[in-house]
Amino acid sequence: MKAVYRSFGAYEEIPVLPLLKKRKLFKYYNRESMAAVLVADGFLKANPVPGDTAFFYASAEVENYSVFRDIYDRYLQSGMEEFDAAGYIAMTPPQSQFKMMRNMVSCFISIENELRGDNNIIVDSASALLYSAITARTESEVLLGAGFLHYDGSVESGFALARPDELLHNPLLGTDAPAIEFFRKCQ
Amino acid sequence: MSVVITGIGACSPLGCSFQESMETLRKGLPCVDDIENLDTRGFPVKAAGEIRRAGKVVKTSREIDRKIYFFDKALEQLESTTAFRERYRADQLLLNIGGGVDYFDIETVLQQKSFSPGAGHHKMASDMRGLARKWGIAAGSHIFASACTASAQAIGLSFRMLKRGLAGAIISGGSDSMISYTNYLGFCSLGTLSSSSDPSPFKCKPCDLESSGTVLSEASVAILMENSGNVPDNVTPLAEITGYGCTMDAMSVTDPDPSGLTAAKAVRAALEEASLSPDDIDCIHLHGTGTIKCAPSEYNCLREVFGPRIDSIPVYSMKGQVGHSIGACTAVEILGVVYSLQNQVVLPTVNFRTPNPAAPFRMVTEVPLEIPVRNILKLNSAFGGHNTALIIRKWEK
Repeated sequence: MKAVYRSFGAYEEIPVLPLLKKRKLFKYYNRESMAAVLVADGFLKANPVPGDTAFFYASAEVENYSVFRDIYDRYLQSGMEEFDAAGYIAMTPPQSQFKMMRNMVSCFISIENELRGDNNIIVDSASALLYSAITARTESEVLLGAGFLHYDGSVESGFALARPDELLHNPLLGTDAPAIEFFRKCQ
Repeated sequence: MSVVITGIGACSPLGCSFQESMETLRKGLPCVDDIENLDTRGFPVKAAGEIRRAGKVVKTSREIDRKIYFFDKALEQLESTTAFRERYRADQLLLNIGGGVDYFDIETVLQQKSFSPGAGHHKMASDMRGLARKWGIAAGSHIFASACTASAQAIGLSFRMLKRGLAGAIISGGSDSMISYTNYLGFCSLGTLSSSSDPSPFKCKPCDLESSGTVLSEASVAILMENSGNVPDNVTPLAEITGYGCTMDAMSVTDPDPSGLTAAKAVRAALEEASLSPDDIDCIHLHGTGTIKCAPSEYNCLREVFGPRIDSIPVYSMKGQVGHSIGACTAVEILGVVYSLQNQVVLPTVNFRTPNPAAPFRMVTEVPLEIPVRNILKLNSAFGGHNTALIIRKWEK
């Protein structure tokens, strides 16, 4: 198994934009996407994979927090004190919805690296990530990834290439451990 | 040994039990109307499929995350009809559920005039783990979130795990509610909702030339999946899952690949796993959202697999009747698959009137089409480019 794990501080720049093939999608990125696409880029350049490689990705639970914070801040700035639907639509760009959708990180990585194979998007769980990889209909290596965007804006990102049978007895199976734990342990 | 579905607990616009859902499907009653559970002043669109019991919307207070509340009810139904807790030890039971965006209670947060980490934020995965503990499920609690294919991926993984003997029984399915301010208005801003001038029950028109967008909805569906060898003699499975395929377009964050070629690979993978040829498929239950780009893409995908025969295979979309519950849509649409298999019919697609030359499917209208239905292809796709295909067979011992 080959793996990579990186973390970025709350205010640390994540220089992903110059690497992007589809720069127009950058407006949909949050800090988890930036970190994940950057780390995946380096990992897959060092370890190229076929386009039909299975790719499973897990985000952490607090990913939606930053979008909710943005919504609340916009309300404060507008002076509105109660919820107002028309105001919400006027203040909330469509990008916010994309930033809330948990499958976008995987979507960006797939687009950038032309990954069109089997896939799954997991919330939080290392166990679900590993079971997805173990049961993939392939004997080749599968790509696993996870991100963890913390409340303060710091972010962790990890990727691994592993054969399904290498994961079968992993102690994180059946536990409530977050997926990023798998990559922290790979350091 | 086969992977079978032996019970379904369901709260959806079709009703709040499996039997009520089947009855609403039989009657073809529209389940979409103007939203009742939210104050919709200022909404540009007000149509939605809300969870109903005996035809009436089930209302909840704003502090409640409906996808958790109703999934609890669906588990309660499932336990009462299948006794899964008596039949399996806690460490043999696993939860694999498709979900959606977390619920954000924005009204309460604004009233409190402060924002702190976690304020108003109902975390789906944590809450689902709580439900798993409550219902004696201890082998794992897994939540999937690929938007409109989340529950298909949950069911697909469950199928694969059971086939490999990695769990005793799995409660799969999906639970999602788009009827909240952030979810509903977020989708309004994406421009994906129906702009039809028709009244709300008629706004979602899958595969119709005059389709203009989808209508959001909500559903919580718990599906008990197990190996046929573990099923007691007095229980007849509702259906058998025989194949699953999944691919990624890797093309756009919003639109499906218009060629349908990557989705076709998912269909072929599912057929191969089920050891079937395209000729063995009797009818197709589409994703059929009612958005302008969905139907041509699905048609091109299926034409790639089935060739000219696609024009004669009867197809169906449930979304005209119930709307689009995003993370729960495949799970609720499994009810339609089971209806087709049990009654040997293809149901009419509610609100379909005018054929679309870009997607000249054989739609069923007015009355159910009676044909032998043994193998159904269930197709779904998602924002972000995920494509899933499930093959579901009539249970035969």
